[in-house]
Amino acid sequence: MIHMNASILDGSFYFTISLLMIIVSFIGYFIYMFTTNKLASTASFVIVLGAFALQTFAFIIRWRYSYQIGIYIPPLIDLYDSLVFFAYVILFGFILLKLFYNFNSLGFIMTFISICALGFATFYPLSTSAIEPYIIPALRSYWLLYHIISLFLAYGAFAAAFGIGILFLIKYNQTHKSNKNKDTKQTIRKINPIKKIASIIFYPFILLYKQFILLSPSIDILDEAIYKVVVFGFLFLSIGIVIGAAWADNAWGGYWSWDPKETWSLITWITYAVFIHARLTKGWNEKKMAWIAVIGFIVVICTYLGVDLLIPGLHSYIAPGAAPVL
Amino acid sequence: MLSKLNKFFSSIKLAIILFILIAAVSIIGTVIDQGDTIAQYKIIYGNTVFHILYWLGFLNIYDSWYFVGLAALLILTMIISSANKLPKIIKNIVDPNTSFDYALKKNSYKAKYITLQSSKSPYEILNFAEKTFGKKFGKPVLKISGKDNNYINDGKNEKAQKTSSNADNKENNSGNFLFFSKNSIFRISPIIAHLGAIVILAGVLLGVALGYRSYTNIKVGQTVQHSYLLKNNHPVLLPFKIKLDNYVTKYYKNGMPKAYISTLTIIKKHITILTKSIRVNHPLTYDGITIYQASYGHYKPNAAQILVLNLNLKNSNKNNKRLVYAVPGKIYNSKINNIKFSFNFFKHPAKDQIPFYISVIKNDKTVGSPLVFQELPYRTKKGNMPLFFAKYNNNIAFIFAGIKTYYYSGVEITKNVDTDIVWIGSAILIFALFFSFFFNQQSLWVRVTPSENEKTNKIEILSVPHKKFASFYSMMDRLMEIFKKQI
Ligand code: HEM
Repeated sequence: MIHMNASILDGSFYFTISLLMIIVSFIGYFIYMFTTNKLASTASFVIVLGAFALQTFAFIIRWRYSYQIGIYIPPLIDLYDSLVFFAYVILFGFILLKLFYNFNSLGFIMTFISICALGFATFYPLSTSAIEPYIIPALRSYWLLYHIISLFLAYGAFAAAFGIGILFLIKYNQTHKSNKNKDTKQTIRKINPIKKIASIIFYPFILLYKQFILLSPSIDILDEAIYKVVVFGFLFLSIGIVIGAAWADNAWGGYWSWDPKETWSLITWITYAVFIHARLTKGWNEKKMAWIAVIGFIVVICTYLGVDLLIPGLHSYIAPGAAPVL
Repeated sequence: MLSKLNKFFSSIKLAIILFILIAAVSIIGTVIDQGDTIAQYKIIYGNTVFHILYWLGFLNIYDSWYFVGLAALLILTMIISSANKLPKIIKNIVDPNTSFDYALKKNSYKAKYITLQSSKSPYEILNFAEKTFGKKFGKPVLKISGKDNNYINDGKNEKAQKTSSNADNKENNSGNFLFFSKNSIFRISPIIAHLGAIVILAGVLLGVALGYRSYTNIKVGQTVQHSYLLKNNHPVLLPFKIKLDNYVTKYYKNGMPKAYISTLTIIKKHITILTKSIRVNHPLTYDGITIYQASYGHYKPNAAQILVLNLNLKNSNKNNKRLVYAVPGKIYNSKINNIKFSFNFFKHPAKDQIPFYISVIKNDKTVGSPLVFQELPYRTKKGNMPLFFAKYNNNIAFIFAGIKTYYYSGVEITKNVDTDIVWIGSAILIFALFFSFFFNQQSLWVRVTPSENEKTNKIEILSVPHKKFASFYSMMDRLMEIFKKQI
């Protein structure tokens, strides 16, 4: 049986509706990608704004509900909370990028990541939206709120950097390929007949796709955006780690205990520190930076979900209340 | 030799290699469980593999010499590279190199260089430039303008010499010249960021060297003066004694724990210093040592509190009431009419049945069938409470008065030397990161020279961002449009 989080009481119903809206806007952005139809992207963006507003409303409902049942901590505790918050931050980041850089072409990637997070939250059996009227003592702390918000702002930024990185790589390869093609036009080429037929059938799509690539921002703008988004994320990752350490010092007697999640957050931090420094060495071009942004996000996903699913520790979301130290 | 070493240690490539190595070692530590016992490791890995892992230091990797060594090396490279950069950056702030040609040569890969022609006078041109570019670049750091329209080429402009001592500048910066430098002060922020990271790492290493993390379990009523290191169980003598006065777990209505509370007394040289309750997130710090609530448990099996009453008060004597702490299955002598009994649980209690019972024992044999408890309402000040009640032969009653738990409290005792250093370093790092990332230094030169035909002047505009951003170049394009319209 399919499990689905959709309760009006705890707000998850509205998140589920917003998931549907984001799917629609993803389709819109996908159409935009192949037709470069302005209307498709504008409509998609309006839907994204609507989904964001609905999620904001859902958070208010959820927050109020958790206060009503006597949990005086905002609902940012378990896997469901964190996934919907992640989707929310990603949408927020996309809206900012769209407003500042007019990044329509980013739409299909950002809405896709958001769909993954929300879809996982809504349908993954271990992620339940119900708010239990109790929380384990270690989580009864306002440090938690600031810790999580900082980290999710960072994760959202890294997701955006990932999206822009992909766009960069697509665009970069396309520009380089067309340069190469120009060089090799004169030489005689043998063409595989199947390939040729396929290329005839898909020719209109390829043409439209190339037009999309042309329309998306220039490589230099993408490169700058990757850097700015990454350093924003790095700043908040640093803040989030420090808050976490202060909290751990307060609650567990040591600011660092090499818990897997802590260690992986350090590894994430190091990955982006490498990004920041690699920019400063002359031999590393923009393409490598885009790759680090893409790989960095994979490390983020490892830290965020992989550690929970594979290695249990102090920070596990999966088993509520299963923390070995109170 | 020294300069070679210097260069080696301040290279960013080394920094990147160190970063990657530290990340790699950290990953090993998350794949192999850290800090288990030897017996556990031998079960998981087998004897040979265990010895190899042990020899490699993989079982306590974050304390291994090479991990600490990598951290120390990171500090060293940060110090050396920062120290190398610092003089240059300070000079850039207080006495920037204003030479046009030098800047052009050095920054060719990120500079934007534009030449224009204009028939306007150099004085007018510079004024336009100051107004146009000043919007984004602030006040010019240096402005040299010939008194009249003539181009002065004697190389002895007073102001130019005063502002800059650099030999290059004397040749080039005479005549009509404008130099802006925005945000140059923020060039120092990466150095401060590194300082922050150095302070954090130094604090961490100091803590590793001088502090400790330990734990101990204290029974209710017990006093201890030792605790045991988390990493290897070696005992540590504390500078005071700790007595556990009381321990309670508070629960939510559904049975989930809500709070774990230990009441502790600190005793130093037989003098009670203080008594305080600790719970998770609310530790107690005394004399540089912090005590945290970490766990709890019971050191004896739970016991039922059974009140045995003599109902037959005719032959009354003193012994008609007795409280027994009965561990399930064990035999106790009530000392009332020489009745012995044991308290037991049903293996398969029926639905709605009270799941425990009393067996009465005579001559080591159970007599009769189990005494089943009955529930009686019992009125107290707080309202009606159920009372569990069982009778034997109409003259002995057993009353179940709750469960007695022999608690111990697990506390973590840490001596964190100079965590403050870590927090100060973190604050420095975060502030400096902000300024490193969001304040880009930008320089702009404007030079006006008469060209060969003597009627028009040649205008050269050179702009250099510290960080190569597309938005900088598009901003310059916009400013150039405005500027071109004016001249
Ligand atoms: C192995 C040790 C390290 C070395 C050798 C090193 C070296 C450098 C160098 C040479 C620069 C260029 C400075 C400039 O642009 O003026 C730099 C920039 C920077 N470094 Fe490091 N670094 C190290 C570790 C760290 C660490 C641990 C951090 C912690 C966050 C850090 C943060 C930064 C930042 C924020 C910048 C400025 C980047 C920018 O403005 O884009 N560095 N580093």
